[in-house]
Amino acid sequence: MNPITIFFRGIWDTFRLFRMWLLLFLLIFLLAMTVALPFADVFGTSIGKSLEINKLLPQYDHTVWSDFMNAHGSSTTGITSQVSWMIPAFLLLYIFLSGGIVRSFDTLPERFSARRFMSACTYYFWRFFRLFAWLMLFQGIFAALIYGSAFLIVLGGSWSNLRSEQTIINMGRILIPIHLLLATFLAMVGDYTKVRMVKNDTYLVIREFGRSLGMCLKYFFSTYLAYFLDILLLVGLYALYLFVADKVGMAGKTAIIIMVAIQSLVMFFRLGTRLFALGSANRMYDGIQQKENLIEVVENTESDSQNIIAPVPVGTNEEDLTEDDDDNFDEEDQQYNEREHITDWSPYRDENK
Amino acid sequence: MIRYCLLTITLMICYSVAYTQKATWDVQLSSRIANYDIKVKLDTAEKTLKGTELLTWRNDSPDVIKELRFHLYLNAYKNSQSTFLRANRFGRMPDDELGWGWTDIKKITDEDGNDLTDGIEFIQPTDGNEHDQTVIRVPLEKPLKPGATAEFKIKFTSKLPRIIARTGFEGEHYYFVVQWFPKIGVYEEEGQRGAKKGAWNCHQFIPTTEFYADFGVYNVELTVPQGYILGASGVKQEERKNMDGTKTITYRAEDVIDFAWTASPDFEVIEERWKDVNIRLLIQPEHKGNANKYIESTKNAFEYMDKHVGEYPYTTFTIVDPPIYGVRSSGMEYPTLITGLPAFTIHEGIRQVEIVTIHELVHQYFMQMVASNEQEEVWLDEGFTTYYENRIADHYYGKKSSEVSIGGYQRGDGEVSRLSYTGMSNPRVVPCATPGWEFKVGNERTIMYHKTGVWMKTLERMVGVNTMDNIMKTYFERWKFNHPTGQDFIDIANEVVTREHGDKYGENLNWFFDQVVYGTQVCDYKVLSISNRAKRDPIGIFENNKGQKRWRDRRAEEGETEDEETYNSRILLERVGDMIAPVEILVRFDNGDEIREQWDGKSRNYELIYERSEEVISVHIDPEQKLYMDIDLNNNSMTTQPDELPVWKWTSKVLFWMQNAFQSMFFFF
Repeated sequence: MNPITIFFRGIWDTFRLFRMWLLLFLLIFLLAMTVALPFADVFGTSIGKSLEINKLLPQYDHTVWSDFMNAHGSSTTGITSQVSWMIPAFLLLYIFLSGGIVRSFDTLPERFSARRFMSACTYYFWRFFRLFAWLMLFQGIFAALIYGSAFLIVLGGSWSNLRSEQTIINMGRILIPIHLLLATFLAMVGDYTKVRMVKNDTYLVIREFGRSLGMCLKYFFSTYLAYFLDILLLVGLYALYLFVADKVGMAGKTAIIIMVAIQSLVMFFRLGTRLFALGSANRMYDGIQQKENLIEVVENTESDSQNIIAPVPVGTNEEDLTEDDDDNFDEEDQQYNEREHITDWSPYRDENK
Repeated sequence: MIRYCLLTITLMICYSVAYTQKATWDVQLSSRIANYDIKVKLDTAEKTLKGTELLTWRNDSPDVIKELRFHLYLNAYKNSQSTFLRANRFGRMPDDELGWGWTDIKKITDEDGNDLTDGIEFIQPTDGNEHDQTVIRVPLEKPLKPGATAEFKIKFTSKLPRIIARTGFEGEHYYFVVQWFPKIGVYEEEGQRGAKKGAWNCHQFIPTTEFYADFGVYNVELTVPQGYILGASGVKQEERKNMDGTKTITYRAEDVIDFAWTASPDFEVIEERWKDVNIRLLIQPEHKGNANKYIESTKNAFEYMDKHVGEYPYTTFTIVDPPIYGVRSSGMEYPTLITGLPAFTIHEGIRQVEIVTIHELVHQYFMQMVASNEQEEVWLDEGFTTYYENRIADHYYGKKSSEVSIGGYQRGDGEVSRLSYTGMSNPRVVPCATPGWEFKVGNERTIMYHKTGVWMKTLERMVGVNTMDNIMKTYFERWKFNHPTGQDFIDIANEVVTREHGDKYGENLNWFFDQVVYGTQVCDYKVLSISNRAKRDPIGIFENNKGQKRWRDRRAEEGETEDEETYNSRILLERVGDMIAPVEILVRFDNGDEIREQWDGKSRNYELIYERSEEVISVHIDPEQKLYMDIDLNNNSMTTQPDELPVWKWTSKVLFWMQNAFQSMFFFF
């Protein structure tokens, strides 16, 4: 249950669901096109014939852009209003799609099935929507607690007590990392809750959330490290993009084509990082369940004074797990994937499958 | 030998004393009409200044003066009925009595000892608001004859308000003390600044404008707690510690129109020099990362103004960096002292600190030395300053990057000024020549600051930067330490432009100033269309020489024409705005030929027709963008061969941003 191995398995599983990954990317790409193409039309017809537009080719030109917005801003209001409803609508769509995504990971190594994907989207939508609502509430409470308490403690609840921006900076230096840690942890718990709800087919959002929270706290190092690696990958991806974008520029036809390709790749892999996280969560959950069931079996057999041979050496806590343990788990997991539900102790016994 | 040594040492001491105390009072720069000797003590518990003021005032007019008028600026903060606070621009007023401000004149006597206090009367010469107490009239026992000088001794208490605008105290010990003492108005004789008869010009304190005062010498003795660090207009003379835990510092400011000071124990002091000017930065410790921004921009601005406008004659310049809670005292200008922008260390590419510093420094020229009446003609003060702020920032930090340059996003200070004006929903709201007390809508100041800055840039581009510099140098030299009007500036502009360019711009530039200063016209020229049609011989039925009808059709014509094709090119231009200005038009043909045309810009539409073997590929009205105040520069040009790459570049960016926006939703679930 090495988190690094789990993380890479999550990536591997995502590649196994390449069709789903590609379809999701194309969906987002097409939605973005519904904004970009009208923009091209408005931009082209309004100032496309002006000689001034050429100033926008080597770099951003504030005068050309602002004159465009001043003179033709009303033509872009349709686009901006479209954006204003499309983004929240996409959030709903993503909540809808999450059921299919998690289910697709759950049913690996079966091939991706669009029908199963869509059916899972519909099947899990409402419970996932409720989970989303709870997550937002928890995130809000966390944020309010962190910043609100700091505001009360440091500033006595009044901005008029602010003596220096240094106070805000110092608060930010302490609170933002704490908030980020908690927010990402909460988001990770949310991912595990999705996995649990799909694997166990349960409706009780809060109960599953609570159990996921307990599990994530118990295996904090493993779960959070895998999640953190994913965040690190996302950050690295954007750092690489900014570096490349700076080198390539967009001042000529070839450079524009190259940058569009690079941007598409960045978007593809950004989506990938989200899927990697869910894939890793799926793997990690299986591993944890497998391990906990093993412990349970060993404890039961010991209490019954029966001698049985355990399939693998079992650690009593997370730290006892070694690389060997993990390799054994790997083999077992592989066997499991090939055989499906053949052991009595398997947590994968799922009547819904 | 000992004698020589002593002589040398004595000479060195004399030289060093002369150098360190080099001050401007060797030479009188102004008429020094209103001179003050003020002694005050700051009470940090009650937030008051108690003291005396000895005003020495000269009647420089041919009139006999029977009364004096004074500004009591701090009474603007006395209650919500003052004209200043009625404007409701400053948000929530203080909840406690300590937060309000006022000035009380305890006693005023003339040099003969006559007590004039009982005659004091609040008057409201600007708006008639009877509750406003920012101006008083003081009838004199003994009228002042022309040329006579008189002394008046005033005992006063000034209660400092919490800083809601510019002046007062904030926090436990930050004081920014401006417009704080009873200050005499300006007596304008007949003809001065267009006055129809001799009268006091002493407007009430209105929220949008501040300054108009006579020049003079200020000797100010300030007593404050010993831990406080002070900054003030003028030159520090001496400092002494008192037995009661206070200290007294004396400043002398010569040939200035006002005196401002600040005090706080938190300041850190950084000193630098530019030529003979001692630059003193009083900065909050948490803002020290911006010290270089302040100093560098100050030196840049001095350098530029010295070269392009005139000499800064004072030996000190103090920059006050307020604490964040004193932000409402930021971005202000007073003689030889300004406030900057309080900010935690900002990224090098964000140049707000530099721009505010440059702006306030330029006010040393347009406000302080060229002391126009800001209340009546805001544009002469803020507009000219904005123009030079733009020029200086663009010169030192790049035309396209002087305000912000960070992560591929950049914008120039000059272009931001232009866009502040061109982006207004109501750019015709008022003419530039609107007095401050007539501001109603709220964005009139954009006209005063930015429209003026932009039309000055337009004037500069029209007549050339050298001519513009000559206009401004002449204006500065002729009117420094004096009170010019807008018409004085216009007269100088006409004089210099006519001298250097003859009648190139007409008899004078009044056609320009009438529109941009006294009018609300908006400039917008546009290329409506370009059409290129192959020239065809006429077709149809025509009579020949013998009167016989012959039908000539297109096929016959095509069979006949084997020569190079000729095009009828038609260009249609439009004056969309109501401002009229002559413009140049650049026409390009597909063989690379260029033709420059002139259009007086008067008619609503203008047509250009060419019959050539080349097609017109582009038309550009005002290709050098001399008419910088044109509100849409994009529609000034058109091409028949547009490059689609910029459209696709920005479309691909929008595509990328949108995908990012969608995928950002992953953060929520």
